[in-house]
Amino acid sequence: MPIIKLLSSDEEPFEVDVDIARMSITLRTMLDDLGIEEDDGEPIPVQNVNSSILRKVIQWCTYHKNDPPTPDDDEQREKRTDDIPSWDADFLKVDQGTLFEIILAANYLDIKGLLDVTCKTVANMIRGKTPEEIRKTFNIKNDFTPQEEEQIRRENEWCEEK
Amino acid sequence: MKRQKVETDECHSNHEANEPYFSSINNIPNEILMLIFENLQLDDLLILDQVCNRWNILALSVLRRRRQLTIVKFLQHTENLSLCQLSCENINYKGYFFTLPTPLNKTHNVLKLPEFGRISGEIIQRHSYRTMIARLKHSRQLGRLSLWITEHFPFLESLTIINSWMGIEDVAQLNRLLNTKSIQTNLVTFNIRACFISSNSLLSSFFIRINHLKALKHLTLEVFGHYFCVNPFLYKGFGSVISRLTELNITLDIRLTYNLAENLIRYGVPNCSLRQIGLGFSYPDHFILNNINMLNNRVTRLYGINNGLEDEESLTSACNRFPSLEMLRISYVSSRSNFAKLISPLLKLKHLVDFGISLVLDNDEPFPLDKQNVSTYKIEFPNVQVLSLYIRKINDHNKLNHMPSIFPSAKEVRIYFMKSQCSSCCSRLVKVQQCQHQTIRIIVSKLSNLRRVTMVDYQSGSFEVWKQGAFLFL
Repeated sequence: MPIIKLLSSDEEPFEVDVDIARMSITLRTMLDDLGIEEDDGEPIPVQNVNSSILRKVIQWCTYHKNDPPTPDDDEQREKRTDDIPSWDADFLKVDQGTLFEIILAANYLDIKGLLDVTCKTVANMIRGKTPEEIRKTFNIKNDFTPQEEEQIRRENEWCEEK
Repeated sequence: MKRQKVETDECHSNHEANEPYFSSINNIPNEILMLIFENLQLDDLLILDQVCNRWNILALSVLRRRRQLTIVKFLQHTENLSLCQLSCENINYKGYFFTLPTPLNKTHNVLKLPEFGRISGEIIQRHSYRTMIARLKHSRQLGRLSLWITEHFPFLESLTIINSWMGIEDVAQLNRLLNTKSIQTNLVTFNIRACFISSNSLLSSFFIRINHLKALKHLTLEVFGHYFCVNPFLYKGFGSVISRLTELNITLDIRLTYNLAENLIRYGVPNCSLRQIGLGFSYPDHFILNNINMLNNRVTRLYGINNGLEDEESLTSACNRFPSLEMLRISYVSSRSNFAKLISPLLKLKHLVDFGISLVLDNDEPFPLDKQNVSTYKIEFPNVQVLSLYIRKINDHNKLNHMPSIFPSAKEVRIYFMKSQCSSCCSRLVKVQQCQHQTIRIIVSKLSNLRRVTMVDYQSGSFEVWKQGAFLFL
């Protein structure tokens, strides 16, 4: 199995199967463009991802390396969030900071499956909460004026409360 | 509310701009935050509206891209339906009036719909991951609905309204909504399910507006109400829209559908290509049918308006004329023993819904045609992949033994049963679940292509699902 080296933003090298690295569209493009098929000594820099997050990303990709390709999003189809595989759910039981960094890494590396599952995880953290609970959960400042708040509440008031 | 241009982090001051690592949702770029929001449904998106300015704008952006909306209004205790409106005076029965059966109780000349919201549970489940769902407050009429929808859903392509009791104000709101340019241009699917329309005065304009929906392809009207049923504008209204439809699904008082059939033939456009139609039509030859939806109306049958013979004739006629039908929904036919023969031309059937035994008299005795069950099919339907059966008891396992030879290709089976019927057969209510599991186990063991079994108690709406390899209590 051909191996390549990735270099995290804090300059820690990682040896990865090419097939696993190619699950990232970003890396796949780089490998194709540079004509790299296996380790030629030069590590590929992954500048926006630090070692602890890159380790997690590689761990996820390794576990999912045999998954079928993720289908393209159907705009008309509502996404569901109750279908997170149990392994992924356990894998993503991390602190918020790590979770958001994994999201950003998945976005930068263009790994659709990982991005989907992390976004769903955050969506599940939002679901069913009141505005105040959401602010508290994510440390968000309420920058509405009382008048704006009242106006928004009135706009939506005909919908049933939970 | 006035929307302002959104800038990342504009409302958050807890993190330095040059912080090396993103460690908070406040530092997540807008496009990723929107990806997260896209996983949420309407209720939650409306809550996000109120979190902060940035989330308000992004949530609205996500909302505005949605193209499907389902509006659910639970009746529950707020509205009663008068006997006059139902045109069924002096009837004291427990019957089923809506698509998902609803027990009706007569109390002081008023028909109440107890726990009306619960019967829509399955409908909501079916829709919840495909559409945005707005649940109206019980105490409110549709209110500012049209304004709200056009503001939040400028590209709406599918609108479904479920379980609404629509008075004058509601129909007026609906008319206002149908009158907006974006709806007239974009709406492809318009469904009204399990709705009771009591207002007559605005119905004519309602149907005229349906005609103005330029993109409309799929129309479902599943409505009830005395005035509605006798309204002549209904079929006049269909005169021009019908030529553009690919699916028309109607469940109405049967008196109306007979009239409707005549008028559709009279006014219908020859090139009409209907895929699905409702009960009572005469099935003219130029209709290109893939699906037939034959539902019965309990009230009219009790009155003897429809003695069942017409249904059988319609069914026979339809089966002979349209042997390529791929979907058949059917309820009561007068001779169950003849049933297999009636539908035997339909060898290309892929989806069969048999409401069968769901019709029960007020004393809970089954119809004389109590022999409806799987065994009545007798002949093979080699292409049926989805099978929905309404059965009386779920512990009548012997009848399921016929399934493999009749439906060898079935991939999905939905069994609708009545828990109360089952409990009367079982010594204790707790056995209901055992029966349920036993039924699933038998079905699964006999059908090799099966991927999914759903058991629905059609009184409470509760259901359990077996998916291939994922049914823990088997």
